[in-house]
Amino acid sequence: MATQPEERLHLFGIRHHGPGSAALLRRALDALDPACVLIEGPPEGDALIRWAAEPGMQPPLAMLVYASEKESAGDGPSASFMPFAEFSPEWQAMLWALERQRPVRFIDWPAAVSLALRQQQEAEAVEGAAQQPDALDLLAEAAGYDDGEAFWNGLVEQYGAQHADGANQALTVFAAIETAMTEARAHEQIASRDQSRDLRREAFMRTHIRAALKEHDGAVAVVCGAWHLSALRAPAKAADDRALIKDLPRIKVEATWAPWTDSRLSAHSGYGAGVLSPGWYRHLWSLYAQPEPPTAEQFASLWQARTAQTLRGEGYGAPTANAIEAARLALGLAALRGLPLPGLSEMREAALATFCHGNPVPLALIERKLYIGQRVGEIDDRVPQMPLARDLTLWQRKTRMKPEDLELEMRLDLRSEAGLLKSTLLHRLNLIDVPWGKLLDAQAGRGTFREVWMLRWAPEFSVALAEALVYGITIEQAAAGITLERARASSSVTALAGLVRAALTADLPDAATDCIAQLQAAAVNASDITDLMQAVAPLVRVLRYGTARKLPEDALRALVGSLSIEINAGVRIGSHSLDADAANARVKAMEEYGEALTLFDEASLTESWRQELAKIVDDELAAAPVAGLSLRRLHDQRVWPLEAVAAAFARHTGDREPQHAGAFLEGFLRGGAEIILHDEPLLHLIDAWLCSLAEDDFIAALPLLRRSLTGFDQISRRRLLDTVKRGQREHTSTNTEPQDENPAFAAALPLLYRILGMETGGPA
Amino acid sequence: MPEAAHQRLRLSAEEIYTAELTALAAGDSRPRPENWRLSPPAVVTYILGGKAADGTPISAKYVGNRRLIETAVATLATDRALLLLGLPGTAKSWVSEHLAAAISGSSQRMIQCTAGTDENQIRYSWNYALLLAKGPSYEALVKTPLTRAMEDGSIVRLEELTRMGSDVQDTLITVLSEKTLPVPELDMAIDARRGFNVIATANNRDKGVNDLSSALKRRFNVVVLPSPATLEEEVGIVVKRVREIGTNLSLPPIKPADEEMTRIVTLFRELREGRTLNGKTKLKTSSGSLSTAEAISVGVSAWASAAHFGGGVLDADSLAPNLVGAVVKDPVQDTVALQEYLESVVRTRDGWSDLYNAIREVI
Repeated sequence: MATQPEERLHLFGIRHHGPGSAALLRRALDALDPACVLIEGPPEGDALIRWAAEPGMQPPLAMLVYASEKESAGDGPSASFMPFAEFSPEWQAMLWALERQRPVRFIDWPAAVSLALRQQQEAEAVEGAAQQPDALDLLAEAAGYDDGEAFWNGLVEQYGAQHADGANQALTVFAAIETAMTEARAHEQIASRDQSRDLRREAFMRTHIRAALKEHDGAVAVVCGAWHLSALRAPAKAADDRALIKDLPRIKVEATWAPWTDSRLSAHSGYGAGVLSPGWYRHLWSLYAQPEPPTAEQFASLWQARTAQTLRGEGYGAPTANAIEAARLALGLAALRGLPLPGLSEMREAALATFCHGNPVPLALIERKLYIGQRVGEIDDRVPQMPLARDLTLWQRKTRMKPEDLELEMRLDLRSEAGLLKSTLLHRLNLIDVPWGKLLDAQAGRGTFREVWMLRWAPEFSVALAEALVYGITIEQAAAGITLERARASSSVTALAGLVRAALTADLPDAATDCIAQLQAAAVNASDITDLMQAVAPLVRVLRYGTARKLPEDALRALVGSLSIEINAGVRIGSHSLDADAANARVKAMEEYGEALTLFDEASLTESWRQELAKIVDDELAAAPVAGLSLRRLHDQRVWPLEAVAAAFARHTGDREPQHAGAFLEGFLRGGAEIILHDEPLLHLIDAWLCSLAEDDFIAALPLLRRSLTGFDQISRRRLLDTVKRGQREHTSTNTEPQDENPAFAAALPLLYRILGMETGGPA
Repeated sequence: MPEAAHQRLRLSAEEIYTAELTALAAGDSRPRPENWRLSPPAVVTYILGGKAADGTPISAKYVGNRRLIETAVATLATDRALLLLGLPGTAKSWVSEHLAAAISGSSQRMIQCTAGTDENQIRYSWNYALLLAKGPSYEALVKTPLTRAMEDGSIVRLEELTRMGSDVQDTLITVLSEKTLPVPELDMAIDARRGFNVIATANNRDKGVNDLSSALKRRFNVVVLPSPATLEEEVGIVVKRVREIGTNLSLPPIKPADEEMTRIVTLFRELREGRTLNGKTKLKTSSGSLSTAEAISVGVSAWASAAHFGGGVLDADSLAPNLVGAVVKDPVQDTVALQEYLESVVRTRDGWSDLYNAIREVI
C-alpha cells in the first residue's frame, strides 16, 4: 500500500444518478478495496447511512435534512433533499462500504450551513439556478454524444467486465476522467457560477479528506461530482481551508430518510441534477448489475419488449413481431451512429417507426409509465423515522393505501369501516398540509356517504410532515393541534364554521367541540348577519344528513340553535341601509339559511324566523331586495294569505320610487321562473302591478324589471311570455273542472295534492 | 435505349450525382450490407450532405432532421421495408429516389401506384402469346419492377402506395415478410436476393385513399417527414431546388432572387398555417396544401416568366400570376382567403407594396 497521502487518495468523479458510472464505480471499488469511503453529501446524514443496506429500503429514497426549529416565519427553504436511486453511484458506494464493513462518511458542507445561508440569501437565485449541468455531460457532448449516459454506456461496454482485468480498467477510467476534468476546469471560466459557494464546499471536503487520510492507513476513496475533482486534489493548506469555513451561520437541523419518487428524479420536475428518464436508467442498471455484461441484443430487446407491454396496457396493438423489429432497428441505428449500444434516443426512434407507425401520440402516452417510471421509495421499518412519518406508515398499512406517483382516483364508501378510515386519514392529512388526496366530489361535503378522491403522493410531503411535528407526534394529534391553533387565531365566523366542519370530517370530535365553543363566542360579537347565516347552512346539513363519523351532536345542535337565535334577533335591524352588493349577498344567505332552518326542524326557530320576515316586509327601512325575498318566502310558505301578500306587494311597488320597486321585485322573483310560471296568482299580482304603472314610471322601472327577468333562462322567458299572452284564458281553464273526468283520477287527486304540497290553508 | 442524357427533360438522381456517389463509394471503408453500393453511414452522408473521404463535397439532398434519415437508412439496413409518410410536398419521393440511388445505384425500379394498379403490375403477368404457344413456363412470365428488384437484390420504390386498392396492396405481405414471391402456376417461387427492399411513399393528408391493412402496416417501419420547421430552412430548400431545376431546364440565367423566394415561402407558410409568422394575426387557410414542393414550382415558373417575358429580373410582376395560380385551387374559397391575406397582411407589410399591386392586378 502506498504511503504518500496523495497516492492513497483516490478520487472517483461520477455522474449523479448515472447507472454507467455506478457500475464502473462498483468495479473500481472492488479493485481498489479502500479502507474508507467518502461521499459528497451533508455530514448530518452520516447516521443514516447504516440503514441503507436494510432489506426494506427501496430506492428512490432521499435523505431529508430539515430545520428542526423554525427560525423565522419566512418562506425560506427549511429542508434539503439528497435523492438516491438504486442506480446512483453514491447509493452504490454506500452499499459497497456497508457490505465490506468499511467506514463511510459524507464530506460535503453541512446542511446546517447551506440551509442557513440559503435562508439568508432568500432573494438570491433559487436552488435550481445554483445547480450546474453535470460536468461530465459537457464532456460527453464534446465527445459527440447527445446524452451523458450514452457516453458512459460506451465506457462500461469498453472497460466493463468483458475484460479479465475489467476492474483495473475501471480504475484507469476514473483516473482518465480526473485528468480530463482537471483540464476542463482549468480552462473553463464560468462567470455565473457562485464561486464562494463552490470554494467553501470544497474546503469542507478537503478538511474531511485530510482527517480520513490521517485516520486510515489504507486507500481512501472519494465519490463526488466530477466538477470538484481538481479542487480536491489541489494542495491547499489546512489553515486556509479552516479560515474559509470559519464563522459560517448554522441552524439546527435533523436528518431522516424520506421516500422519493421517479417523477421527482426526472429532469422534467426541475430538479437540477435530474435525469432524463429514470425508467430507462433503471433498465440500464438492471443489466449492468448482472455478473455477465449485457449483450447489445439483450439490451435492446428487453427494453422494446417492455415498450410493447406498456403500449398494450394502454390499448394499442403492439405485437411481439414489432418488438423484434424495434430492437433490430435500434441496434441498426446505434451501429449507424457509431454507438456501441443503443441509447434512449435510438430506442425511442425505433419504437416510433415500428410500434407507432410514425405517430408520436402513443409514445407520449406511455412516457410517464415507461420513460419516467412511477416508483415510490419505501423505508425499512427499523429505520427510526420522524414520528409523523412513522405514524403515516402505520396508517398506510392499516388502510392498505400505498403512496403512488401517479394520479389515481379513489371512491370511498364511508359506510364501510375501511372507507371511513381512509377518508379520515386523507382529511387529517389535508389539515396538516399534506394534500396526498384531493377531494373531488362536492357531494362529499354534504354529509353523504360517498367521497371521490384524487390521490397522488409527492415527496415534498415529507417536509410538510416534518413541519407539522410542532403540533403533535401523531397525525391525529397534529391535525387536531393545527385546527385548534387556527381556531384560536381566527375570529371570523365563516372561517371558524369551516374549521368546525373540517374537524368533524377529519374525525376530530374534541377539536370540533373546542372550535364550536370558539364559534359560539365569536357569534355573539359578530356584526355581520350574512356571515352567521352562511355558517349555519353547512352545519345543519351535517346534522340533518349525518356523516358516517362520530358527531358531538348535542354541541352542534346547541351551536346551530344559538346561532339562529342570534340571527333572528339581528336580521331586521341588520337589513337596514345595505348597499346593493351587501343586499345581494344577504338575500343569498337568507335563502340558504331559510332552507337550513326548515331542515333543522326546530319549530320555535322557524316560527320566530317567519315573524322576522313579516317584520322586514313591514319595515320601511329594510333593503328592498331583502324585503322582496321575505315577502316571497311568506307567500311560498303560505304564512300570509294571498290578499296580504298582494297588499304588501302593492305597498312596496306602488308608490315607491322605481329603483326600490325594481330591487324589491328582483328579490321577490329570485330562484327561477318555475314559481311564477306555475303560481298563477303570483303572476297576476305582478301583471296587475305592471299594468297599473303610469307610462313614465313604467319606463323608469323597465331596466330593473329587465334585470330581474334576465336571471331566467331563455326557455322560461318564452314560456312566461306565452303564459302572459294567453292571459286570463289560462287562468279560467285551470279553474274549470275538466268535463270528462276519470273517476279513478279524481279519487287519487287529494293524495296527489298532498304529495305535491298543494293543500290549501296552513303552512306547508 | 434511353435517350442521350442531355436530351432528357429530367435526369435521375444517380445520373446527376454520379460524381458524388463514386467519390463516396471509393472512400467508403465501412462494412456494407450485401449488394449495397454504399455503407449506411455513407448513404446518410449522401442524403444529408457532407464530405467524401477524398474531400469531394457532397451536396445536401434533404434538409431537415438528421435522425429521421438515420432511422430510414437503419430500417433499410435491417432489411425492413420503409414507408415514408408525410403531407404532399414534404420530399417523400425525393428522399426515396435518392435512397434507392445511393443504396442500389439505381432509382429506376419504381411502381407508380394508382387506383387502376392491379395485382399483375405488382407481382407478374404473362406473355400470353408465349403462354398459348408453349404453356406456362418461366420464359412466359412478364416481370414487374418488384420481381426484377427481388432477382437482382435492389431497392424497388412504390410511389403513393395508398392510392391502389387495399387488396392489391396486400400482395406485398408475403414479399415483405417471407422475401419470396410464389408462382404457383410454375410450382416455384421468386426468391429475393440480399439487398432487395421496398421503399413506399404515401401521403397522410388525402382522405378517401385506401388505408393500409394492419397486416401490411406492421411490415413497414414508418418515418414521417415533417414540413420544414423554420422559415429559414424552407427558404433554403426552395432557393436550392429552384436553382437546380432551373439550371437543368436551361432557363436563361437571371439575377439571384433569394428575397423573392423568401416572400413566396413566407406567403405559403402563413396561408398554410392560418396565421402570420409572428403569430399575431389569424388568417383563413387555403384548400391547397401549399407545400414546399409547390413553392419550388412557383419559383421555377416565376423564373421562367421573368427570363422569357420580364426584364431578366425576378420581381413581383413575374411572381404574382404564379403565386395566385398556386394558391387559388378552389376558385371561391381560396380567392376569399387570398384576398383577406392581401388586405390584412400584404398591404401593410414593409416592402411588399409591389407584390400587393401585382397580385391585385391578377385577381
